Amino acid sequence: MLLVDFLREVLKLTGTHVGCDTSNCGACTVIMNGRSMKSCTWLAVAADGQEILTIEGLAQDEKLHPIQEAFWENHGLQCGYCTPGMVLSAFYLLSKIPQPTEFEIRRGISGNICRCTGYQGIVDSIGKVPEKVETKDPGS
Amino acid sequence: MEKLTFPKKKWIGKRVKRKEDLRLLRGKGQFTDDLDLPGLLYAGLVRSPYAHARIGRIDLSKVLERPGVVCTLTGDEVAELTSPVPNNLRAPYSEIEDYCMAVGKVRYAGEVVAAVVTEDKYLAEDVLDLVEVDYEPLDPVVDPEKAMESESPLVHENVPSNVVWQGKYEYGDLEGAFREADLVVKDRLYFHRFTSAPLETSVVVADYNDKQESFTIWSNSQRPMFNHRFVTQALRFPGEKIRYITPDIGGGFGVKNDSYPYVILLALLARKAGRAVKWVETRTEHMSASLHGNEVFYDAELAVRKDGTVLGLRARAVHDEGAYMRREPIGAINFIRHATVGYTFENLSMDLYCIATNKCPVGPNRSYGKMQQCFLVERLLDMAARRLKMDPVEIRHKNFVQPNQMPYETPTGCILDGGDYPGALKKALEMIDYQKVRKDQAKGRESGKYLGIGIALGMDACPVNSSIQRLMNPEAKASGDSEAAWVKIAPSGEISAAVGSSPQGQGHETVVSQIVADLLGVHPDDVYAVPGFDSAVNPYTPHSGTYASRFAIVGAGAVLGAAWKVRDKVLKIGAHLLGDVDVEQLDLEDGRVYLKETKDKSISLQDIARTAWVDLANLPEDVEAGLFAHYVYRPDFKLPKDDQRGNFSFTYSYAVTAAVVEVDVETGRVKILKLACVDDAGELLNPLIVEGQIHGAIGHQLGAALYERLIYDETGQLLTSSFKDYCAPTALDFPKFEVAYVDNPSLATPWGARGVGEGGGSPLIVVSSAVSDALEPFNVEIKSAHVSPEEVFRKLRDSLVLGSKSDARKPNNLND
Repeated sequence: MLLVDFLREVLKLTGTHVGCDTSNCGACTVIMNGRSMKSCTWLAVAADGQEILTIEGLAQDEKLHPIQEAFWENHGLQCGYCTPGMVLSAFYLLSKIPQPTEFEIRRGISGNICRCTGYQGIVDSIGKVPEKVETKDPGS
Repeated sequence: MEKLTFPKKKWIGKRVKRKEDLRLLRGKGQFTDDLDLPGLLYAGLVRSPYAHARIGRIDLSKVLERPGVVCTLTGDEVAELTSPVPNNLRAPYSEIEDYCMAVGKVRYAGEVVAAVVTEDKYLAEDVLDLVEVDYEPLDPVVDPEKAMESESPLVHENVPSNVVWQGKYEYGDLEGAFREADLVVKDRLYFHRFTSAPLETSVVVADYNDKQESFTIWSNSQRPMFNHRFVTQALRFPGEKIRYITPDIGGGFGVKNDSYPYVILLALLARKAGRAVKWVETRTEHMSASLHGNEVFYDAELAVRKDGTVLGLRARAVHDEGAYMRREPIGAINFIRHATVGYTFENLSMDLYCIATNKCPVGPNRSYGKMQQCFLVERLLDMAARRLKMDPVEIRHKNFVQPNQMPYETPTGCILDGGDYPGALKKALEMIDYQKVRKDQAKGRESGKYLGIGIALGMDACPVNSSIQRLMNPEAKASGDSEAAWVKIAPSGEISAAVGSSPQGQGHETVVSQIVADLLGVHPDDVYAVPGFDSAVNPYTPHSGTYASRFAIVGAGAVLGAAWKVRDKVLKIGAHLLGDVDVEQLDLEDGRVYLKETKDKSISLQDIARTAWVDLANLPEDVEAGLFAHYVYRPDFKLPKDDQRGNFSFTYSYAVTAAVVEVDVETGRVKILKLACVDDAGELLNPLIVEGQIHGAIGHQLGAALYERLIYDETGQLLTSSFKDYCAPTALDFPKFEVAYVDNPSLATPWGARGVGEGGGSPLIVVSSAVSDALEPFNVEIKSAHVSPEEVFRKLRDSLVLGSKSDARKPNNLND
């Protein structure tokens, strides 16, 4: 069983999505042990014992994470289907580069496809996340 | 109802953050595939590897032996259990049979030939190999021009030709126009096949209740109740007993208008299995067998005077429609709503041919039939400007409809509802610093750096006056457009609203809340706008849905109308309860009805609602109990003037895009350095959302121009069926988009808004315009809407082999 199916169908964490069958789209992006990864490319058994953060774990106590807040404020989403993966890719990017340039943002989310925004709202949103954002897995 | 306007604009027109984001950002969106039901089964579909083949024996014995397989379905059963879905064609082509599965023969690679229902999702995919199908391959019909010839094999053998529809539309005096012309630009242009490919593929869940003999369908359809009609007809089943639900939808862009074959198929499977069945389209299935955009081959001539005045346009347009006419010839005939874009020429002839081929069917795809016509006109204008040695800006100014000519009736009878095309162009040029870029261009050419500037006007006519169907088929009894909404104040004072629009990311919950908030004097957060669509909850009309950029017109109009009815009633009950006051003396704010002048008397909406529902003896006698209103808005559409002319849309928003590109002449690579889009959607209901829609249209159209193309080989095999092969662009492939507005309220809608969100193709057209401009020293003209490095390289090579740079600079011969 693929990790993405395990998350969606066994754990009922349906915030992680599937948008392609070739690992191109990144809708299934989760954070495993602090790194972003496409959960459609892993078998669930291979992830046994690993620490995984999905979109459901990002907001704490009903309070949006600053990355989610920035997406909300700057219209970083339309249909919302790519959004969980996009937000988690941004989470990983900002954990590595707290103040990315526009190019670094574009490169950082280049594994995630969005068909609604032309990426403009997403790039703007990530660029406006405050510098000192907690990018450690809030559950760990 | 009186004029539908806003009594005050506290929330409408503001950048209100979207309500739906709060669930979508937390991973709490409810998409169709997220649905889980007790005993849910999964469907897998066997698809044809051939583009054109007769189906022989289908052997299901091995698959039926496999544990976990519940049932199967083949075309023979489908033909028995269902009726074909009707099309828009004239007899005898109306006889073309379109079932939810191939019956007798397959007509495109990827067409469904059998379905298997299993207990397990993975099993549904694994067992497909056990289905044995005998095919007798037939010659594939791939080239639409060859398909028109009488000796071509037929895609549909029960009709006489692959030319399934033809129509010629002529306006003005073509002969006179071409006689008077100093220059005739004559060329062959091509608009390629692509698809907007929403990130969420199509998903259907069907459940049959054999006690109540009713269906519940969940499907991510943009237009559920349009699909519903086809499902009802095909299944020969009472429509009122089919409940149709669309939860959150992961993008649509037109492609999710016509998923009804799958809904019919899943309904059959659910009834046969006796349990709910889910089907999730794979990306490969979506790319090869969902819907593609119209692919068009133009032979066109533009008649122009020396001073750049356009006199007339004559074009033959051959549409490669694929195997089934799901919506066509609407895409072809949609030219009529944008025939002359924003220009004043009066003489026009469009000769349209719709051709059946062994490819995936075409249908609505963001800027459906609009971008094709705008591309045709804009590319020819640029070509004429080059030949006349005119600036492409100047030739447009020479021909624009001017703001003081509005409202302006085009030769096809469409009434442009205001706008400032020259002003929009001027602004776009300022944004790219046109004069400076022209200088940089001249300087760059000396050192082998090839910059190009493109400009394009695109038009978004919306919504669709369904009387356009009468042009295709005079028997069609259809006209107008409509949308429905309800607004309610519950006995508790809670306010809710619902509309039939079934959105896919356009933020309707937010805009509905803004409208109701302004009408009832509350905060948008006080309004619960029902998410998604459910035919048991939401109001709807046969036109309901989110397509053709229609929400700002019909959706907003319906909500405004329902909210006005509730407001009027609230004020009437309020006046009664306050005693001795007239309705005219009252206003609504902060959830209270109050006396405008002195503000010393007021009553809460909650008290009014409680009275309206449960304290009925205190209600005025002539007031119906309850606080609920349903309203259907319909734009003031008339029947067509004749079989060629009519106002087929209500608002005509437009966008001018200007771009600066650099072309690497060694490799053909095109890089966009600057991109500015100036849009006019009139009064914006929520500028944040409108801006996002414009960004989205730019993204789709730049993607289509530079990267995305659906390519078939000569056997009818699709070569680009994954995001990888299709080159779906990433954030690295786009520049920063600059967006600005010119503000000209619509003369058609009382609240001044126009439909928006498709860009009218201008961001797509601008690429071929800019690349042609960059390569002017090589005398290269791009004649295709798609501009790949390979095509640019070939063009350059041909130019360098066939003619030197200096030859290309020879004065052009007028009238050649």
